Parts: sequence; structure tokens; C-alpha cells
Amino acid sequence: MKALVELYTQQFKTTLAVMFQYRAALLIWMIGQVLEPLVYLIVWQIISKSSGGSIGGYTTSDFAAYFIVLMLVNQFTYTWIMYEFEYRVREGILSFALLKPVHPIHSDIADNVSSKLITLPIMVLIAVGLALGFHTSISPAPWAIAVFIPVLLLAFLVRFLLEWTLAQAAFWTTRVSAINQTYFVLMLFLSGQMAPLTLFPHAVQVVADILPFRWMIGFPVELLLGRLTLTDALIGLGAQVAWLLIGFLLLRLVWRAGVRNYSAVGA
Amino acid sequence: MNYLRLLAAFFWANVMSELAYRVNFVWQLFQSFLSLGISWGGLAVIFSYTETLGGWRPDEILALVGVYFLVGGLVGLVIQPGMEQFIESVRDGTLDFTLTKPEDAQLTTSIKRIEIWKLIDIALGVAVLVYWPLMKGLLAGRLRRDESFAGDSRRKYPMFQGDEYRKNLDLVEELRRIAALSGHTVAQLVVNWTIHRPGITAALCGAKRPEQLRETAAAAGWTLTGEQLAEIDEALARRGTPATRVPV
Repeated sequence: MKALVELYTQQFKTTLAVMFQYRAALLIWMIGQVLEPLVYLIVWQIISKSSGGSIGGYTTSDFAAYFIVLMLVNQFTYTWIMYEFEYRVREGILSFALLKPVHPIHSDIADNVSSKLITLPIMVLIAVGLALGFHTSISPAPWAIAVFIPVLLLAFLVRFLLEWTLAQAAFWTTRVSAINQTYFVLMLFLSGQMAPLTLFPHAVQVVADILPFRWMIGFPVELLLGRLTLTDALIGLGAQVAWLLIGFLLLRLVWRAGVRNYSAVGA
Repeated sequence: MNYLRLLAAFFWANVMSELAYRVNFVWQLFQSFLSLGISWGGLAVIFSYTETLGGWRPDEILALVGVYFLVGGLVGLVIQPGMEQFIESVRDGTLDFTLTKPEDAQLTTSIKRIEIWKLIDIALGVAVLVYWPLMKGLLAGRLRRDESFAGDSRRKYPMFQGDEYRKNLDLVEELRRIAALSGHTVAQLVVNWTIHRPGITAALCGAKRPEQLRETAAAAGWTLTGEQLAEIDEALARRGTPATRVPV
């Protein structure tokens, strides 16, 4: 346990140093994180205005609130492991991590959490600015806020475990850019990033309920916007816990088989 | 000439290195179609709530998606991967290998990485841009006036309904007459006219029967006379603006 605490503190220091070294890259990356939800926000506001101020229960101002909260949830749950893992396998960097006495996932978690400690406050400021600019606000019920905290943490964990597991496809195929793109495209469509899922045709909503994407992004957003009943929230929480278990089991299985299959490519 | 040879060499090297990763290779084919499908799906959701988006009709937005795939494909084919590789090689010092080569270093860094997959995106973009040149068979010139379109998805388009349909068939009759002036069919005239519009490089035409293929193939290799072009413009003006192209 003490070793893990030390590892996390050390990783935090390293990540901090790296982030300050590449300040400009960080800034550009954050602009991207803000712009994407902003585009959808503006598109849906235009549609909402042209059809009399509301669509499917969302008013023009609700759309702004939805996408601003979505931006924060996405920022909180985001991982970049899928880009990173291919590089590690291809260049053979993973070999060093394997020699260490702890599972490499720990340094990734530490890296992810510490970089978010830096970026999240800035994103919250941007979100507040956007909320003022678009004249929108949210007023969730106290129980919704209480449920939101574990829901957000679960969303992060589910996303982290699943993406870490999927990233390990690189053990078998080395190049995984196509698989990654497929994942992100499906996520865009089925997580609620493109539009609130309730605006989609029923069949798409059913698919979204079965797959994990909704539970990683759309569900926390809808919860905080006060669009879910307590029952909905508990069902969602159940789905998140189920996906967490699935993710954890898959991670263990795939990791064991993957490391056995691993050979550093070095090109 | 030397530059072209270099480009070809780098292109082949990239093809070979992609071929080495077979799963990624096959998956990428599927991925390009999925991307376009999802873009289309997103637009379908948006346009299920509205007729126009900031004054843009669905077919215009779809054309925009086509342009996006085309231009984005070109940038992603050679410009972006080259830049990424360049940044990487500055960071880890491998740029030295490029700088010590006898060829122009600026060129070789630019074309070193070619993301061959983007060729699929470019092709898809072009395909979308010239989508439905024969407007789902309407302009092929073989539809009857009393066609019922039973069990046919075309039924829900206003252009195949009532007065709009009648006006459209009148236009097709006009076009048939103009095409006959140079001994061609309506479909050949339409495709030929489309591919000679400024900015259009190719037209993709569907066919159900071999003779349809033979017919459209003969659409290329000749040009409409000035007289024919003028008559087409007149016929289009007489037809007036179509009601709407959105399925209802």
C-alpha cells in the first residue's frame, strides 16, 4: 500500500513536469475539447429555435446546459490510453513497465488523475463562462447531486477499464488505429455526445442502453440536468456497476493472455 | 521527375508497412464506411426534427459532408501524417536521418508518411458529391406516368408524387427530345451534363441490369452542343423550383 502511495505521488510529480513542459500542446488540446461540444450545442440551438423553442422536451437553453455539462463529464472521464498503447507495443516501451513490480495500469491511473487535477479547474471556469454566455443554468435536486458523485466516478472507472482493455488489442494486431476509430465513432453516436439520446429513434436508444457508451457520458449528464427519476438513476447505477465488473474481468483475462502474446515490435 | 519517383517510393513503402498489419488493414475498410454511415445517421437525426438547418437543406448538408470527406481525406492522406511524424522526429532526434539524406529534406519530411487509408475517404467524398446523378431513376427516362411505386422507398419523396411527379416527367420528355438531337438517350444526356459541370470529376451510377451499365458508359466521350446546353437551361427554367426534396 505504501509503495502504491509513493508510486502515485511520484507519477503525479512527473506528469505535472511533463504538462508544464508542453504547455502549448495542452492549450490546443483543451481548445479541441471545448470546440466539439460547442459545435453540437450551436447546431441543436438553431434547430430548437427554428421549431419554436423546444424539441423533445429540451428548450434552447436546455441544449446549452446539456452540452456544457457534457463537456465537463467528458473531460472528467476521458482517457488517451488507446492512442498510447499501440505506441508502447510497437516501440517496445512496454517491456520496461513489465519489469516493474507493480501492474502498469497504476501508473496510467495516476497519470490520468493527476493531469485532470490540472485541467479540470480550467475546464470548470470555461464551463461557467459558457453558461453565462448562453444564459443557461441547472438546478438539480439534492438527491441528484448526491447520486451524481458516485455515478461520475463509476463512469470514469468503466471508461478507463474498458478503454484500457480495448487498447490491449495492440498485443495481437500491433496497429490498432482502425479499431480505435471505430470505438470513437460508435461512442460519438451512442453516448449522447452528438445529441441527447432521447432525441434518437427508439431502436437506437435500445442499442445505447445495452452498450456501455451511454453509461460513461450521457447518463451522468442527464442525471445532473434533472431529467431522470430516482428509479432511472438507480437502474443506471446498476448498469454502471455491471459494466464495471465486466470491464474488470475482461481486463484481467485479456491482460493475462496479452502479456503472454506480447513481443516488442520495435518499428 | 525525381520527385515523382520519390513520392512513388514512399507511397509503396507505406502500403507495404500497412500490409504488414493485416487486421488493421481489413478493419480500416469497414471503418471508413462506418464513419460515413455515422455522419449520415447524425444528419438523419437532426433532419428528423427540422426541414432546414440555418437555411441548408439535407441534400446540401450531405454535399458538405462530401466536401469534408474529400478535403479532410486529402489533408489526412499526406499533410497531417507528415506533420505529426515531423514533430515526433524533432522530439526524439530521428530527424537527423532525414537531414543527412541527399534529397531535399523539406520534401522528404512532408511525404515520408502517407496515410493510404484516406484514399477511401476521398473516394467516398467524391461519391457523395455526385450522389444520385440520375435522381433515383427519375432522370433515366423509363418511368411511366402511372407508376405506383408500391413497396418502393421512392414513394415517400415528393418528387415522385402527384403534381411534382407530373412536372418532372414533362421535364424528362423535354430532355429526351434534346438528347435525340445528337442521338443519345436521356440518361446519357443527364450523366454527360453532370460530369461536364465545373468541379465535377466523376459520376457514380447504379445499375440493376447490364444494359443500364452499357447505356451509362456511353454517356462519356462526347460533349453537348451549345444549342443543346441552352435548351437544357431553358427546360430547367420552365420546370421551376421543386417543392422539396425531403422525404415525407
